[in-house]
Amino acid sequence: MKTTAVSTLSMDIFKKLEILSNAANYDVACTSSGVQRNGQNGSMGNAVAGGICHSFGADGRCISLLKILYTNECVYDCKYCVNRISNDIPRATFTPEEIAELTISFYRRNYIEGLFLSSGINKNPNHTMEQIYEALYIIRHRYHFNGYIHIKSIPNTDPVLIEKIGWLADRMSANLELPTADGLKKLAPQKSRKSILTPMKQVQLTRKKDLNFHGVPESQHMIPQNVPALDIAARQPLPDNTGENCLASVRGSHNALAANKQPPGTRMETTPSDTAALAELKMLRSSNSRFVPAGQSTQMIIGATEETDYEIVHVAESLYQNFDLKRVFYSAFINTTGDPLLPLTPDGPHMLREHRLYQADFLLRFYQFKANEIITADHPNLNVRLDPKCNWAMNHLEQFPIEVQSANYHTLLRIPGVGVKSAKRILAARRTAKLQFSDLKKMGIVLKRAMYFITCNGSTMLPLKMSPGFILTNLLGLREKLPDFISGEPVYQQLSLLDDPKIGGEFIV
Amino acid sequence: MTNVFLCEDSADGIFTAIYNAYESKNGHANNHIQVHIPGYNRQLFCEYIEVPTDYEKAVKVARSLRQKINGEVYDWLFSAAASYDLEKADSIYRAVILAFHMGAGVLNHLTNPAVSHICKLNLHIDNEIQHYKGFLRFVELKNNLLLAKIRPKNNILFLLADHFSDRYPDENFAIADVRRNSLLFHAKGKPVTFTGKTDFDLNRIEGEYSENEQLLQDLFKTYVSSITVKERSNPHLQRQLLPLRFREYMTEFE
Ligand code: SF4
Repeated sequence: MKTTAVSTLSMDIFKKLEILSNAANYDVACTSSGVQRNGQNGSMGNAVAGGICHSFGADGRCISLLKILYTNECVYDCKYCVNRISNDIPRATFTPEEIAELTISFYRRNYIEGLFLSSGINKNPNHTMEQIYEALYIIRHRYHFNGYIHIKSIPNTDPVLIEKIGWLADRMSANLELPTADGLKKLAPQKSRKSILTPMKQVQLTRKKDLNFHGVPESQHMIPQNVPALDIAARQPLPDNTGENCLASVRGSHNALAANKQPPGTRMETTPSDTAALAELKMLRSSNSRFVPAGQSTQMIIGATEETDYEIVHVAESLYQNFDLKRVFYSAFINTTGDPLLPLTPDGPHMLREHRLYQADFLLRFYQFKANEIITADHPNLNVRLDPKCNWAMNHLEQFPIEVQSANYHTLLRIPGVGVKSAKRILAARRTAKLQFSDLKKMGIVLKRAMYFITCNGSTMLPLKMSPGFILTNLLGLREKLPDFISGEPVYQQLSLLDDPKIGGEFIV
Repeated sequence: MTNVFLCEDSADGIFTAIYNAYESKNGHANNHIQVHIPGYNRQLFCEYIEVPTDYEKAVKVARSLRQKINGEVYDWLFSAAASYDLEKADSIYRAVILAFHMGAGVLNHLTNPAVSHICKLNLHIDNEIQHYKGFLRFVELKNNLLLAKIRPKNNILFLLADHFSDRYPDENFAIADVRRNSLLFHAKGKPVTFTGKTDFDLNRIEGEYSENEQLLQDLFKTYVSSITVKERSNPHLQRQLLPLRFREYMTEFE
């Protein structure tokens, strides 16, 4: 791997980096997890399934990736977004070379795990995504980078371009933006639900095909993939590493697309742009890289429109079920544009609601809950006073107490105060010994919550006669450990969601 | 009379002492293994025996652990030898005795004090490794060498070798443990080498920065400060997640 002796970075790079990383703050995900890839001679980088935190900002958030926008220019006018065309703010745009050089130079110094690249829309979606592809291409081909890359795609991008990116990225995401099509119509009229879901479907299906091709059983499609290093030898050799030449073919196709004329050196009958892009796609398909091995995620804004939690949780469930998403991120709305169509947020974003939605999301993903168990149409908003799991238990007291000595995994997970890890520990421990309440504590079960809902060898922990009112009073009396940005007090874990703060090693920001 | 075997602070040293303790036929109950550090308080009614590190003996112990029990148990004991806790030596000795007695089940025998001690040490070591995988920073020198300095509590330098040589197979890089004055060196395409104490002078390696180095450091500082949400400032939380002791050589905290 060669490092460029002559840097493409000029002094205005500071201004660009400041603007374009600050603008990326609205992107929630900063995780590098979900894929395991060893390094390889001739290249740089590896990927670790659990992710690695490289620093923590003064706000206590994990810094794992270089999280930037390619540009904050935008021709769209989404009402909630600071980058909207009608907003008067300082604008900046990176060149693909700059993005590549920053990523590689930061990675070499062990500052970061990789890149998270997102963007406003410069000129049009295809032009923007082509620039992003170009950056990606330089990073993977010129610098032979084997580390983690997450690309956020833009609605209305050409499917060929989406697929080309998917062969070079680890994770892709398409922002859902707003939970329903109506909300989208109102606040982001240039985007349609269809334009967002179509590429999501495309990525899902291509990924599935790729996994099947490599003989990965369906049941393992959603767990972190162990993937081979990107094999440079299997790709077309690059003329040299000046960047200009290695990108000539890509540029050729761009220019051809723009001018709609034949690029030099092709004698095909079909549309030249398609030919060039398809040839490149074929090359990518035949390389040994995997298609979006870390899967897809999405993000939606909560509270800019009228949707209830009922709608949101059901949307999330259908995204997990129908699109195989790895993660849905929720971001509480902050009014940064002052648009008259938007609600004001004088007390700041509704962080508690966001937190409750993340908890509900955990129940969907790890606790075998269905959306309609968590929330119903007649109580369409999550209880802010109780976490969704306690709330469910209070509404289903007839199913308790649960006997920990004999209950199955699914049932154990229903107990407030029992997490995924502690449920597994219970299963393992009771194979060899009868459980005692003191053992449960050692296994990480939060007894002050669980005690109202369990028996251990037939007896309750305290000789209490429990009425629903009594339990509720006690549960509400417990101080729930909320993330500090909600409670205003320091917490001791980055984000304590339900009972397992760090499931799957993903860092949640 | 208790025999106290004084050994070097290394896996080889401890394993040599374990070999000698077995050979002594003094009875395990009457033996104690201690890492030899100057000024260690000696007790009455003990015989102190200095153990010169003997690689052949150490390898014999290692080999029989691997063959008679398994690699996992061996790795578990071996990595505990990297701990900063000097009481590790005797715990490893006790755990070895137990392992030969009960086999691989030793790993789950948490009620045994030596076993739980070793688990605790390993947890601490793993945490520190995990932290340094993220918090270690390289600077690029004029000769293109990447140099990182760390000051770990545990002797984890060699436990970092795999991760970083996998990550940067084509780079020449060096990681210096400034607490122990030891150095890990990786040359492009070659296996890593370790250098102890007297064999090198960090000042001589630490040459001038490369042309771009300062620029990149400043860019990273710009990045870290601009992605921090000012309104959510929480240095207390930051300190918990990134304790001050790691920041000594971190670019963004200089
Ligand atoms: S397209 Fe994206 S960047 Fe542009 S205004 Fe809409 S949300 Fe903002």
